[in-house]
Amino acid sequence: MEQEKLKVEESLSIISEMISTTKYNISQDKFIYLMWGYAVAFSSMAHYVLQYQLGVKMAWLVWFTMPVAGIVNAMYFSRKKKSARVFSFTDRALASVWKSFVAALFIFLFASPALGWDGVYPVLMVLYGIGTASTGGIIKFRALSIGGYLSMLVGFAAFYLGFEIQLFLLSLSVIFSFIIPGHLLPKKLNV
Amino acid sequence: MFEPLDPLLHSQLRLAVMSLLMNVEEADFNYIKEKTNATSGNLSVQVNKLKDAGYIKVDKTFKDNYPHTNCRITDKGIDAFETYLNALRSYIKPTD
Repeated sequence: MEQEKLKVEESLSIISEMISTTKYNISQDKFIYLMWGYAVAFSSMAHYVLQYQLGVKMAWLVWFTMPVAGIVNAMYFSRKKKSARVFSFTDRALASVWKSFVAALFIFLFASPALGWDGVYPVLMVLYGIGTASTGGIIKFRALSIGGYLSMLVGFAAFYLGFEIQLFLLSLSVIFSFIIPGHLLPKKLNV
Repeated sequence: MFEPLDPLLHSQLRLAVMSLLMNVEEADFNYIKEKTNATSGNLSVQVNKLKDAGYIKVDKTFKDNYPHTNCRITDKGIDAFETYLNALRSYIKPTD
């Protein structure tokens, strides 16, 4: 671009062009949504089959998929942060939502001896819903918002159902909140 | 009545840089260069002018042993940009 005196119309066109060029690129995080969605859905179904169909006592060991996914997640975001050339308000809003989500998640996991697992699982479904519904609101992506609220509804139902059913509902909750929106994520969103 | 336009912002590249930084918290020099299609030399001169006016803050650090320049808009820059936009409005208001 060369320096020259501008017309008013040119000024407006530069401003709108620069605004549209900084669209939030959500597609790069598609992998993370799908990884967590499938990891939780697979683990809860495996837990159900192992414990209630095959009678395996240590079926809960399938949840060791979570720390593995956590490591992949940490590596992904550390690399993303290193290569990031721009940091937007959207980035900060999303980081705040998911940091507080992780903090709340750990609080409820550590509180499981007091609440019992059948008390923790419904809370986790509501938490998934809070994380994805607020992300959907920030990036203006309706599938994520709707999925989040559906996950909360599933969590509400889970409070009244037994642990066995809760394992199914946990899968359903992440299908709504992570897997379907993850597959539907567009390349770029105007935030 | 036409309001005067800030000459520092009423220039193609400086306006592009300010518009871009209004929309993000911070951006590195190469990102701005890519988005504005500017040459390094020209961009460097214009960024320095905006910095000297106090409209943007420029941080020079090292990232993986390479020099890294980050730019972010200041409160003064935000005020100047808003004043510029209001002045632009006076030019596009329909006259009676």
